[in-house]
This record gives sequence, structure tokens and C-alpha cells, in this order.
Amino acid sequence: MSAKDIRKLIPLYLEGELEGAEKEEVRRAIAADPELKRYAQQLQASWDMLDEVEVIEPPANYVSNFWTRLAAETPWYQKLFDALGLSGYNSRRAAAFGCACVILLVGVLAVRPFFSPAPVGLESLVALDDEDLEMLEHIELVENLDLIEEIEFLEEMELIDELDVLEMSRAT
Amino acid sequence: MSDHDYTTDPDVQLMLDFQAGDKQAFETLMRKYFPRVLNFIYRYVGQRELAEELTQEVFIKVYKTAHKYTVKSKLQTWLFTIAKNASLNELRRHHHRDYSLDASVEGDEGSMSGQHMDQRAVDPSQALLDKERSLQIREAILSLPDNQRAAVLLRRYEQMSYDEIAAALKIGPKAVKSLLNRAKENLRERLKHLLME
Repeated sequence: MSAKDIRKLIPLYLEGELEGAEKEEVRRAIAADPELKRYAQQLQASWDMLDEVEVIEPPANYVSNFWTRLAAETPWYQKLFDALGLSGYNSRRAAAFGCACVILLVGVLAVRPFFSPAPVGLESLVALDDEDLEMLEHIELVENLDLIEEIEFLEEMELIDELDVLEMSRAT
Repeated sequence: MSDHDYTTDPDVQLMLDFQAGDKQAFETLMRKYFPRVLNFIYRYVGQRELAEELTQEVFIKVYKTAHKYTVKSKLQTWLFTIAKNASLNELRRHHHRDYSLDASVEGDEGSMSGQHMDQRAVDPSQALLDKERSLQIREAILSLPDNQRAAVLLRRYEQMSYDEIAAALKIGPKAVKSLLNRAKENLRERLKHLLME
């Protein structure tokens, strides 16, 4: 392996990512070549130096800030879903939920006639025969049939009475 | 990677609890990861205020898209992917790759790590030198190309494996090795003057 190849492998060697013969070859090359050794030391030192970068702390109220900002950014339907215990809903799911509601409503309206009493309309009249239709036309007469029959009977009685009076006048 | 059972990861379990409606689980996750994501973004974009803003956005995105999370990797891999994308988008949107680090140095009193605070308490001039040195190291990190910088931050500060970095950056493990090799070489070049001191 050339010095150039060894140089490329030194970062992996320092990370412990090399194994077997390759690892041994890099180790020996570094030990034997002062330039490679210096290079390896610089790589390691500059990598270790990253620990010196400052660490910053979050603002003291970052948790409450988060919930406040979230509440301000949350759309009404999301709040509704949260209130209903359906958290995890987004606009796409809300649209799907709305569509499902519409489909359900249309479905209920479509099947409702099969489960309710049939309305009296022209359709039901088609099923009647002529006699029934005639009765329907004179429904008031049919409903008062008994009364009418009585009237006819009375009329007959009057006629008989009139005949009796006529016969009596002839006899006299 | 996909053969690994990540459901045993306590963070994944917290995320699954949150998916089931447990908001407390989300808050536990946020308290655990907010400082780490904040520092990752801070080192990525170079400005504290912007880092705080972006970290809030990252967690709001996590909250809103939690239902899309599937257990394919450790939770932190998913989280840092979002953090890296948010940072990169911000840098590209505003074309401010060259953030002023001076403003940050002025405004970050008291935010040094414990080790450096101790030194400053002993010797103020040494503390200033340390701060200057820290600034130069941050500048060296910021000068790296985007993917190299992300790979370095995930490897050095989050101790992610090559596979995890590959998943977070959506590249192959070999590409991660190559990125890190070039990043280390770049850092060596840019920090060489500090090594001489």
C-alpha cells in the first residue's frame, strides 16, 4: 500500500473502523513514517478539539413556549379532534373524515324509504283496479253508504205513501 | 438496519405512547432531546436565536407529523433528520451561510460548558482566550460543506454509528465514511494553527 493510500485510511484507523491485515499495515506505516505519524496526530487532535465548542442551554421557559406556539398554530379542526380524543388527525384526515360523514348522510337518506311506511301517492294508485278507483272517486259516498241506503229506503217509503194517497183519492 | 427491533428503544416507546394520545410522553421526549437538537442546530447554523427558533419548529413538526412516524430506526435518527433538514432549508431560504459568529460571542455570556466556566472563574483572560478558541473551532465546523458538517455533528456530538448517520442523511454508509474522511481532513487544515499553540 502506498503512503497516499495509508493516509486515506488513517481517519478510519483512528476511528477503530479497520480490522485485520489492513489495520496492522496502517499501524506499522504510522510507526515507521514520522510524516504519517504527525498527520495522524493532527487528525486526532483536531477531532478532539471539537469538544471545546461551547454548549448552550435552552431558554428557561422553552416547554411552555412550545405549547403556547403550538396552540397558536393549531387549526380549529385539529383542536376539535384533540378534544374528541382523536389526536393525530391532520388536514388530510379531516377532509377524509368530512367526506365519510357526507357519504354516510347520503347513504342514510337513500335507504330510509326502505325502512319507513310507504307514502300514499300516485304510485300506490296505479296498483288499484277500476272498481277500486271508482270507489275512490266516490269515497264520500262509500263512507256514507249506510246513510244513503237509508235515504233511498225513505224515498221508496214516500213513493208508496204517495201511491196510497192516490189510490185512496180514486176510491173516494 | 431494518432487521433491528427498535421497539425496545425507550424513546421509540415514548413516541408510540404519544401516537396513542399520551401528550405527557411527547413532553418527556421534548425535555430529553430539546437541548441536544438545539446544540446540533446551533452548531449547524451558527446563530443562537435562529437555533432556538428552528428547534421550536422541529418539535412542532415532530408533534404534528408524529402519526407518520414508523419504527424503522431509532427515534433520534428521525429527529435529527428533521433537525438537519430544517437547518438546511433555513440556510438555503435566506442564503445566509455566513452567519456572524461575533454577535453570538457577545450574546452568549454564561453559556459556556462547565469546564470553561471553571477556567474563567480562575483566570478571566484565559477564559477569553478559550472563548476565542471555541469560536474558531465553531467557524471551522461552519466552513464545512453542508453534508460534511451534518456528518461531523452527528458523529462527534451525538455518537451516531455510520449506519445511523447514513439513515439520517439518506445516503449510504460508504458515503458517510467518505464524508467524514474529507471533513476530518478539512478540519485538520482549518484548525492547524490552533494545534501549533
